[in-house]
Parts: sequence; C-alpha cells; structure tokens
Amino acid sequence: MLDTADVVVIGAGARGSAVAYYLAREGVDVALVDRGFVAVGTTGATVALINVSGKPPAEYTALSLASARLYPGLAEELGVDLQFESGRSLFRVILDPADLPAARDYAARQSRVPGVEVRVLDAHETRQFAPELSPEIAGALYCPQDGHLNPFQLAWGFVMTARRLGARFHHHSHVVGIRTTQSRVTSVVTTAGEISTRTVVNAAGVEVPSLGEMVGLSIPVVASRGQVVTTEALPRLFPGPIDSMRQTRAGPVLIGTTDEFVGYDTGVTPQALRQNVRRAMRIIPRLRMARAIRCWAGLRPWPIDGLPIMGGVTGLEGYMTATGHSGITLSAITGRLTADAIMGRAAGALEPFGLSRFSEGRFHFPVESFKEFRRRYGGAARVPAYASTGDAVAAVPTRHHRL
Amino acid sequence: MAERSRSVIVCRCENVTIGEIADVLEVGARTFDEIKRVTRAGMGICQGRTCECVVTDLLVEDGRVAPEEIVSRSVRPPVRPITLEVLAASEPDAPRLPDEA
Repeated sequence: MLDTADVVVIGAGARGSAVAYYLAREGVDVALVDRGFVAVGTTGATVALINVSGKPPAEYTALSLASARLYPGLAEELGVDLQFESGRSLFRVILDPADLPAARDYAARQSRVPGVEVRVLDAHETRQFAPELSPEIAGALYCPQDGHLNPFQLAWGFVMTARRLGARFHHHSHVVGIRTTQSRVTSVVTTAGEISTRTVVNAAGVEVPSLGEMVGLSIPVVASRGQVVTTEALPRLFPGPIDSMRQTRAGPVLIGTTDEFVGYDTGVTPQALRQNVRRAMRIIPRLRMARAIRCWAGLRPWPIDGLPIMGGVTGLEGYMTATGHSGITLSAITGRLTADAIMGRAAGALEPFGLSRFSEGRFHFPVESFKEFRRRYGGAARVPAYASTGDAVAAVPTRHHRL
Repeated sequence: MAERSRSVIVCRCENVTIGEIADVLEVGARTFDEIKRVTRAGMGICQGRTCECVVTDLLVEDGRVAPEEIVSRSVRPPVRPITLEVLAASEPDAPRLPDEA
C-alpha cells in the first residue's frame, strides 16, 4: 500500500491542485496524484486568462465571477508570485464597425448577471486603453472582472501549500485503476502502488474520460486543441489581455488561440498560426517585428455542453469529477466547492454542473450563442457534430487509457 | 545539492539559479520540461539550448534520474526566432509542421 488518504485527487493541474489545497486547508487528509508533475497537462499549455465575460449562460458566468473574486487573496495565501491582474482586459477587439450592434447586445445580456459589467468601448476609449492599439479598431468588449495570472505559479502554489498543510504529492504515479466495493470507491491503483481511500476526485483534464471508464462512467469530455505563438520578451505593449493575447510579466506575448477538435494531436499548423498572428498584427501593428520563439499547442478538456463537470454521481459513492474548459478561471471556485461538497456543505452549488445532467437528459447546449460570437469575432470554434444532439453521451469517443 | 553556490545562474535567458532548480528537484521534478514550467529555465529566447545540459546534469546528480531515462526538452518550431511578419507571410500551402508527442 502506497498511502492511505481520506481523499485522493487525480491531476496536479490548476483544478486538481486547487481541490487538494482547499481540502488540506480544512484539515482533510489528502493525497494528490499525477502521472507526471505539477502542471504537465492543460495547465502547462494555456494562455491563462481569467475570463468572466465570455461565459454564457448565467450560472456559468456567476461561477466564473465567484472564482475570479478569489484570486486577489490567493497570492498571499499561497505565498507565490501569482501575477494576478484584473480590470484591464479587452475581452474582444472589434475590427468591423458592423459588428458593434451585436457586441452591444452581447454586453447587455452578459451584464444581467449581478456583479458582472460588460460594455462596449468605442474606438477612442479602446485606444486610450493601450496606445499601441491600431487606429483601425472599431471598438472592444471590456469587462473589469476579466484578468489574467501566471498558471504555473498558481498550480505550484496550490501544490506546495497543500503539502505544507500535510497533503502528500505522489508525482509520476499513473493511475491504472479505481477499485470499488458495493458501489463505493475503496482505493486508487497507481503505477507507484495502491492508495486506500473512500473518496476520489477525477481532475485529470483531457484524461477525465479514461478515468471515468475505470468505474464504468462515460464522461462526455473531448479534447480541444489550442495553438499559441510565444514571442520573445518585449517591452510592455498593452496592460491586460486583449482578445486571446496576453503579455506575461516576463515579457513574452502569447498569441492565441484555436478551438479545434482533432483528438489528442498537439501538433501546430501553419494555417492556424498565420491566421492568429495576422489578427494580432492588425490589432497591435508593432508586433510585426517581434520575433516568435515558440509555436505550440495544448489540449483543453471540453465537456460537450461547454459547462464544467463537478461534484458526485448517483450510484457511486465517493466519486467526484472536477473538470471543464477554462480551468484557470475556474480552478479556485472548483477547489472550494469540491472541498465543501466533500465536507458535506453546500453541495447544491454544484447541482447545475453535476455529471448526472447527461444521463438524465437534462443537459442543453448553451454554448451556441458563445460559438456564434466566436465565429463572428475570430477564433474559429469548431464543435463536433454529435455535440448538438440529445443522445450525444453514447456517441462521445473516449480514449482508451494506455497502461 | 553539492557544495555549490545556490546563486549560480543556470538559465541565462531567464536568470534561473541552481538553488531555484534544486528546490523543484526536491519536490520531485524529473524532466527538463517539469522544471521549466515552475522555474522558467528554458522559457527564454534560446528555448533551453544553453541550459539543457546543465539542468540535465542536475537531474542525474545523486542518481535522481538514470542517464538512460533522461527525457530531452520538448522542441517546437521555429528553429530560430523569426519575426511575426515572416511567420504570417509563410507559404499558404506549406505542409503541416511536425507533431510532437
């Protein structure tokens, strides 16, 4: 037996490490397991935006806002250089004035969620924001609740603080099985040994479906590829994220991104890179002479209805899921609510995001408006055809886990 | 860590010291990329060309990782830095860039 823990969290990315931290903070005996190390999956390949404005429907926006509000306090709690900043993000730059009315509608809709303020800046206001912005810009969507942070420091801070509070971090331990007895989780089997537990949290990112299969669950999550160009370190060109661009504290500009459903392929394609770079240069002309030092891609977990999957599942005691798109934005609230649910508090907050919505046919497809928006303003969102059908769950391809 | 100053710089692009890398090794990092994400060693303009051998040396030191189990750093295009202008103007029908595991 490798370990015995009250809770085993699988995945040391932003979400899993947040769950481990919030549990450890409550004095829960927790073991965090990863096939590699900290932030080796999606968290290691993200633009790392804190995005509240782009999250319809309302319950998803509210969840994102609740999470965004936790980051200002986290840098101190975790004792890391989180580099969190908000209030200076342009969620979407609008190049064609014909797109302004639709943007205003979108802003009005999103602003209905209490605490969220999305508005359309005109051309002048937008350029006030960052002098390097092109005069060609017609306006931009602005949301003071949006922001960005350093994703590596986030996950590292969660893991290190959880460790200090008594959590064990079993790195390089690949989960190969989850044992159950009479519909209850009893242990997690890893390549480093078995961990006896009564609660497991599946926060394995794009590997969530294969860990679901281990207990007979079909978890409808597909991998979405995001391609990104990283530039050399540059002088400060703009204050916060613009579109899917972000200038990190160290100086490089990250130019994202794509949403492509191409399985588990992390290759980059010249077509997508070119398209994103051209748009970036239209928005910030000075980027033309900046040098690209790395073109890369990462995979993000995308539940087929676009909403996070959190909480337990009926019929299997002690099995929790913590996954979804937008893991940097949602890591803190995911950690907190998952810990609350495990401690027997306020499980209702997770209700709209439960896995049972798929098996009970309660899920809808609220990302339509979001995708329409993406199509209009760039970032070609492609969603697999089966995702819009009611009986999607059975059709979702899950990947066979490699043992 | 041997009797070596923790303040010696290993990654010159990002000013990462032996001490910072040793701390991450202590937690259990076993590959260059695992160290990179936490410390930024290898994230700068040279993309690890300079520091990979030193970091690798630190990995095999004290038998932490067997030399035959060393995983080299992940390499991505471009081979040398190129301006975005050039990247954006590259051949429209150019073949797909090689995948990486």
